[in-house]
Amino acid sequence: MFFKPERGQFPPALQKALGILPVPPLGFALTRAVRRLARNRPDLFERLDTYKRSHFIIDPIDIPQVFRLIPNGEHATVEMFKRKDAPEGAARISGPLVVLLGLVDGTYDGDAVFFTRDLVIEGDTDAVLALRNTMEEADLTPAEFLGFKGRSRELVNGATDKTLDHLRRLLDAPTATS
Amino acid sequence: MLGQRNDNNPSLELVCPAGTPAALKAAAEAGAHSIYCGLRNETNARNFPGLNFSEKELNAGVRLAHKHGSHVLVAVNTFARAGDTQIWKRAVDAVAASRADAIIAADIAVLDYAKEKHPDLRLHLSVQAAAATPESISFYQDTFGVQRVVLPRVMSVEEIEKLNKEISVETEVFVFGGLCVMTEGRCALSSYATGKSPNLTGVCSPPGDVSYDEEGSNLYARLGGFTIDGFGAGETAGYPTLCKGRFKAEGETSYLFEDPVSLNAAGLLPRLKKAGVTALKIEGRQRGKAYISQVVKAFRAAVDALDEGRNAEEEVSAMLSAMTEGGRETTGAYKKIWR
Amino acid sequence: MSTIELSIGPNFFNWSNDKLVDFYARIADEAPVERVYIGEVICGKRMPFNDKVWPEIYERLANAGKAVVFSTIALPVTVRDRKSINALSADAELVEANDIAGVHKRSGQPFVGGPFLNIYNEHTAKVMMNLGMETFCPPVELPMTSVEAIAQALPDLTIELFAFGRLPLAVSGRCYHARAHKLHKDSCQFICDRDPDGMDVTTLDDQKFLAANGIQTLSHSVQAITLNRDELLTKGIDRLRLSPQDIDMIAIAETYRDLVDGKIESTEAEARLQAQKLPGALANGYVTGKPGHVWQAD
Repeated sequence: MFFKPERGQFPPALQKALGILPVPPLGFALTRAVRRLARNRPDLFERLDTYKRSHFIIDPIDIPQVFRLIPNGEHATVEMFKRKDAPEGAARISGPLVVLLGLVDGTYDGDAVFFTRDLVIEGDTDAVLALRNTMEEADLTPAEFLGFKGRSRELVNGATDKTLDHLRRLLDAPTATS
Repeated sequence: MLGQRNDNNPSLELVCPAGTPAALKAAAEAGAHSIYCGLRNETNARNFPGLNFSEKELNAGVRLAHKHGSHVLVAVNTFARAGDTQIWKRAVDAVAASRADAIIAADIAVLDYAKEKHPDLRLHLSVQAAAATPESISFYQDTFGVQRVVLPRVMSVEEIEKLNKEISVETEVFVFGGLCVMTEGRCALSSYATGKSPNLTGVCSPPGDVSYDEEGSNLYARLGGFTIDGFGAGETAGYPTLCKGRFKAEGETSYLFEDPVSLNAAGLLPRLKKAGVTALKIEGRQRGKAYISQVVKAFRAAVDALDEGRNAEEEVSAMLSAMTEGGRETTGAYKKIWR
Repeated sequence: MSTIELSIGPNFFNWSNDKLVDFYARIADEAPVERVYIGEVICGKRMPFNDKVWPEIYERLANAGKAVVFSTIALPVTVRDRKSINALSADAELVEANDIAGVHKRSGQPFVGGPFLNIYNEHTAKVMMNLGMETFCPPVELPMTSVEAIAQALPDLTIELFAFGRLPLAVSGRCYHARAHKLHKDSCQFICDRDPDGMDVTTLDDQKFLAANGIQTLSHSVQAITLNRDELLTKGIDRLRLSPQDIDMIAIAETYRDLVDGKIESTEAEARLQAQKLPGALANGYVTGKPGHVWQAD
């Protein structure tokens, strides 16, 4: 391998390259995805209870952007900021991008990556726990979250699984928990 | 035992946790004989944010479990708050309406209400009631018709065997997961540090009162402002559960109450069966479905092997090793040397 | 009741027989309290020793006009533990049940529901009253709002508050004195006798936190409920319990006597308590539903 990655993180050159990505479209797509989820699975947002109005700052430490998630049902928003412009939130969840994605699809157990310090939690721990338990119930696959249906959902899931698995190995990320 | 019984060689009943409907489904599919869960409020002793079941989810969960041939036991096992006992009584009504197979309770108010209003509802005595002698167990049996008691995690196998000879209710024991070193239901350490405790609010060492503070290269885990443990650079951090922290006494620093270990009594199943235990309980309603699924599969294999007269210890410990990787294990009080 | 009584709670610590006899002799002669709880409530292994002096202590206190209550063990495990509960429940005139086994064996005769019983609400207290409970000393973590709700719902129940002393927080199957001294519980050498107020447990950064006493864990701080006479009466409190520590308990009892007789106000009571050689800082957080270690005056 031509570079030695820092446990699960993108190499610096790639980190820099990602810095020039246009910011708004991804946030827009993610907002739509969360709102779609709120229509299909209202039980999940009921589970979040009062924490659905919490501001979660999601910080993939190996890319130059951070996200602010307000999972308020059909009024949910996901916004993307340059790290230097990042707002404050009730809670902040930081870690390499592949680790954060692995939490969404259940590759990683939140407790396990927390205790190995691959994941850092700051602020309102109760809010983070509510979010974590809700994700656990949601059982999301990447394609489902992005709104793919039928055969295309399987194809996208298969492709993302493979890509993420490959990425995890390439980046020396922690071993999958499940 | 719930369900079929072969009196000559009754099979051990595997009782598995579910903190969410997804975990309930995972446990049922993995072969749990029974699944225990709680309502999403302060009536159960795992009252964590985002966890547990709404009444609607409970009803659906019971239907799904029954389809898989699994039973559902619902924990209403905190102590009702004075002046607000209606919340607990409503929870008992919801359990009865869900057609769940039993209710797990500790508070005498809850037991009394269940017995009066729902005489057909099977009653299990929660570990939070800390009943460990023939006298205390027969109190709950005689007064409320309790049919099973979940034993405190502070008893040895020998003591359990002796106890089973003196009582006529079923016993259920913990075999895997978190380990309470204090007698459950008799511990106010958490409320002393944070104001919240298992008996008062259904939580122990609650996450909302936890802070992790980096000081130099060390990380300190604090609960309600009290330092419970510290970790050097590169050292795996732990959750500051109060009784599993590092403290100073007699000039020495140690895990005074209990090492940060979890219980694994998989190797003791033949002895527990011989001791007359009816059911084996796996702790962990706060754990994810992937964890639940693997632990349940392993213990189901162990129970089935025992029925067939095989010893599956090696195969089961291999299945469980992934679940406790890095973490240390103990057989707890089941072996007397623990004390 | 328009007067508030005082009691001396059961001693938690491993005191020698001589120390126990001396302590209760002073209580009999000098302490302005109506009631005294005696007996071993923490460790059955200590019973063969102190069982020898309880009859003598009982006589001494009864002759001094005190109501003497036998407290039963909180966590019965051995046959000896169980037999002691059965015997006391069957024979003694006044008994405190600290485990549900004691309630059962009392079979309807009057008893005191001790702080180790899980009575958290008026419904449970009512069931207990039907079984014979006449006095109720609430679990230490129960907030005053709950105590008041129970007192209001059950006016015939005598409410006795754990008002002074290190808070009994937990019991366990494991002995922490033995563990700290690298001994096995079965051969503990009764090492807990070295700490007549419990063994201090501090955090990694030296914050005073807990105290171990054999299988029991107490607070490092010292509970001190110092509501004045009118406040106590309004809340339906009938008696205050003072838990023995290795300090001048006569001075503690005198302070509380003056407080419940309305001779002094809370601030003076606190100042007089602070002037004693206490094993830890004062605390009263549980009363208002705050963490138990908190002292509201801070």
